[in-house]
Order: sequence, then C-alpha cells, then structure tokens
Amino acid sequence: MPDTLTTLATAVHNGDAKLVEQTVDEALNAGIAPKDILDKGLITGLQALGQLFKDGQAYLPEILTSARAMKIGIDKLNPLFAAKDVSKKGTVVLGTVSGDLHDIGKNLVRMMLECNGYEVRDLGEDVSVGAFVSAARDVKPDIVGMSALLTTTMTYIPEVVKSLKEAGLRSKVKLMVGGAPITRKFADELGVEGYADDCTSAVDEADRLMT
Amino acid sequence: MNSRERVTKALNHQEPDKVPIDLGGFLTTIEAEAYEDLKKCLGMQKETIVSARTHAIPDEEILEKFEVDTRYLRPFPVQKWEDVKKVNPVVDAWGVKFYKPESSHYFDPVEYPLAEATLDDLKNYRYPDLWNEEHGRELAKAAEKLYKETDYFLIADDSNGIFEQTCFLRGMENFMIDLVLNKDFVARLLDTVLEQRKDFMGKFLDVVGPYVGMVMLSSDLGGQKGLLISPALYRELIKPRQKELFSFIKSKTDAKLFYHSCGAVRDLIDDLIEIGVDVLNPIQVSAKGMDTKELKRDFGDRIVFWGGGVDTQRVLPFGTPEEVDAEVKKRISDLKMGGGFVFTHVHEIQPETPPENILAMYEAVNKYRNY
Repeated sequence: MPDTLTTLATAVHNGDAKLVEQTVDEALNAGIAPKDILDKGLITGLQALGQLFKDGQAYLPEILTSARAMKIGIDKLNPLFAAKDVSKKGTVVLGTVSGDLHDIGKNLVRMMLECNGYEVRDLGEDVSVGAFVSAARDVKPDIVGMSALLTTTMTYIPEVVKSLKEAGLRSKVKLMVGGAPITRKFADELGVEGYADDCTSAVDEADRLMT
Repeated sequence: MNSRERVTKALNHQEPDKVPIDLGGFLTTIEAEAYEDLKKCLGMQKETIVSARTHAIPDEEILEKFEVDTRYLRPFPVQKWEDVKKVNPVVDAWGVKFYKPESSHYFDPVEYPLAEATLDDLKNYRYPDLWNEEHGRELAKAAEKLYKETDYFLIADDSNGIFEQTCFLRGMENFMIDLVLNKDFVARLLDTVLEQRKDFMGKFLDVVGPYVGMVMLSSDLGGQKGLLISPALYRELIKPRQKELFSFIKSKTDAKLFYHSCGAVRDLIDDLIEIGVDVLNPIQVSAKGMDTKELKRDFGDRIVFWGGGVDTQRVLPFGTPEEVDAEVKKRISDLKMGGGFVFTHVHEIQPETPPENILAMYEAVNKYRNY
C-alpha cells in the first residue's frame, strides 16, 4: 500500500500524468481510500516539488507539468468523494490586473490552489478594476487574489482596494497579492491581508487567511 | 581616441580613455513613450521612429548630445511610431499575435501559431523568409558609408534568438511543458528555428559582416529570482543549438558576439562563455545573483559587461536625480576597472522615466567615466 502511494507521489513529482492516472487506478483497486490517495499520494508529491521550486531547485517546466499531472489525478478522484468527505476549503477569485498580460505565475497559483482544495474562478489577464469588483459581488469569494508583473500595473491594485471599499465589499473578502514587483511591505501598506512570492507560498497564505 | 577605438579597447579587456557609451540598439534603447517625453523636455519636434514595436531609434541629435559611441545596422526596415500605434493587435511575420492593452505600455505575445501543432505538423512547417532584399541593398550602402565616413563603433542589431522565438511560436506555458513531456517535438522545433536563424543571420552578415565590431543576439533565460529552466535542461536542449548558431556567426564575421538575457543568469555565464559569448547584456542588477561587484570579480576577465549601468526597475524611473547619480557612480565603479565594460542602462529606458532622470544619468556617466 505505501509503495503505491509513494509511486503516486513520485509520479506527480515527475509530472508523469500517465503514471498518475494508472497509479490512482491501482490504488483504488487496492482499496485505498480516495482521501488517502489525495493526501498521501497526490498532495505529498506536489508539496515536495513545490518546496524545491520555492528553494530554486526546480523550475517552471517541472512545476507546470507536476501541477497538470496532479490535476489529472484529482479529476479522477473527485467523483468518488461524497460531499461530506471533502468540502472545498474556500473560493478564490484570481486575475492578473489591468494592462498586464502575464499569466504563468497566476496560472500556477490557480493550479496549486485547486490541487489543494480550493475552488478558483480565474478571471484571466488584463482584468479591469470593475471586473474584480463585479466578481467579488457575484461570486462572493473568500479571497480575491491579484497578480501583477510590472511596476506600472501594480498601481491598479490600490484602485481595486479602493473600489471594493466604495462598493461596500471590502470587509466581505480577504485580499491576496503577488508578482515580481510586489512585496509584503506593499501589501501591508494597502491593508491587503495576504502576500505570496511564489505559488507554493500562495497555498500556505490562502490557508492562513482561511483560519 | 575615437569611438570605434574606445569600444574596441573595452571589448578587448583593455582600459580606453573613458568608459564607452551605448544607446539605441533594439535591446539598449529608450521606449517610445519615454522618448516622446524626453523630446518634449528638450524642445525637439521630430517624429519618433522605432526599430520594432515600442523600441525607439534615438535621433542623431540625441546620440551626439549624450556622446554615444555606437551606431546600429538594423536587420529590418524601421517604422514610424505613429503607424505602429494604430495597429493593435498586430501579427508579425512568424504569425505571432502581439497585443497592447490600453492601460499597458507594452506589446505582449498573446497568440501563438504553433500552440496546437503536433510533431507531424512540424514536419510540414516552413519558417518564414524574413530577409527583405530591398532593405538589404539599402543597408549595404548605409553600412559602408557609416564605416568609412564616421568613426562610430558599428553593431549588427538583434533579431531574436532560438529559445525566445520558440516560446513565441509555441506559447511559453506550452513550451515549458513540452521541455519535460514532449522532447521529440522540442528538438524538432528548436532545430527549425535554428535553421531560420542561421539562414537569416547569414544573409544579414553577408551585408554588414565586414563593417561591424559586434553582433547582437538575445534569448531571455532568466527571471527575477532565478533561471526559467534548469541548467540541466538548458545544457541538454538549448546550449548545443546556441553553440551551433554562435559558431556559424563567427564563421561569417570577426565581430564580437553579444548575448542578451534578462534576469538572474549567473548560473549560466560559464556556459555562455564556453559557447562563444564575448559580451553579456543587460546585467539586470535587481535580479538574484547579479550584483555588479561580484560579477566583475568572478567573470570580469572572461566576459565584457555591456549594461548594468543603472537599475531601470526602480532607480531610473522612480528615483530622484541624486539617487540616479549615486547609482551610476556605484555601477561604473564596480565594473570599469581593466576595461571590459560599456555603459548602458539595464535593458531599455522604460516608459514613465522622467526626462530629468535620463539627463541626470548621462551627466553622471560623464562625471565618472574617465580612466
């Protein structure tokens, strides 16, 4: 049994989607509970790689393939979970801010959040201030996450904060920010609750905001 | 000492009379919006010309004012900025679509012609012939005139590199995954782009090769905090092809080879030197591991630093003129000893950079550049 889950974790770590699918089937056939397959196989594998990525020992190709392989495993397991077994940790609205088309970092955060129990509504790139506010109103997320890669587009983040206040929505959501020019100091000065500088930390930070 | 002698000495790791100055290449110029602001400040009326997208070509008046030692021979016809602004999105000759959102300063790639391609599709794929014969004929005349009638150091300007062009064709996220899961496809695609690069550079260098002291190439391999791909993947898939391209270029001209990669690329500098890179740019001082003093200490005798003159993420656009002066003083001090340094800012001067900061930068260069 541990061997199957170790194999699964390794398959996720290596981004081997075929082996992930095959090993999930093997684990299910061997009678391992879906929750154990998720926690001790899939999540363990991704977390190990996520830590290497955070430490600069793994890179974009590895983390992207790993996250995609993980998602394939999760999609296989999802129908098997009764609603009571796994409820979503929370809902996150995510987007790259106005004028900014960069998406890989934001996509990685989306994948990692989804792999770690969050429901994510990805608004895409070049997301207007108005679109963030509408999503906060309509989706009623727990967290709104904003990504900016440029010093010239991070200036839209304070505008989103201001517009949420004006719409009476600021107190209804937690905010999280990330991207190359973003700093914890920037987040603190705006009263933004969460900050992460990579996709692995984004999950930890989301978990912290949800407590 | 004239400009050509000055830059040549620096490139040969000897100290010239003063640190040479570069401005105006595709990778070392000023963004069109910042250029318009500068011209307004200086009372200049001329229309802005760009080499491509938002990369302005500074007028002779500006180049002379700032005592720029370099002049460029460009691989493609230039365009008017007013015309470029009107076409958005724009599809280039490779079929890559670039789009500039209204609240953005930049054209970014958004659609990729080979995003869905299979290995079989690649077998039937023919790269576009980008060489413009008429432009080549005019360039030949301009190159000879510049070489014989001026003493500027002439440079064959950049036309993109293997890795970056492949990312543009496939889409970066797709390509990152291909590098792990789809290596046969990657090999075929990289070889196709390599073939185009050799074909194009061959034609370009047949025209400008005899006149240029340096050839510029680029492919971003680094981000703010580290490399985009692992050193192992780079050495397996990219490095051998770059080596082939660089060797080909060196067979066509005696010029030095300049390589541009943004970001934290310290871990690959030895590899780049090994495959023939003589000059490194832009020396992104704000990226991890790219401290100018440490780089000079560790690599200064084996590679020329063309860049690193002033940080353009924070200091030049958002600092005070005094902070700009202090930054230029520090970078020149870190990099100039023993030659092997040409002053230019880290990548282009960005939009929203105040003209007074640009003027402060060049005042500072003049103060601190003498040997």
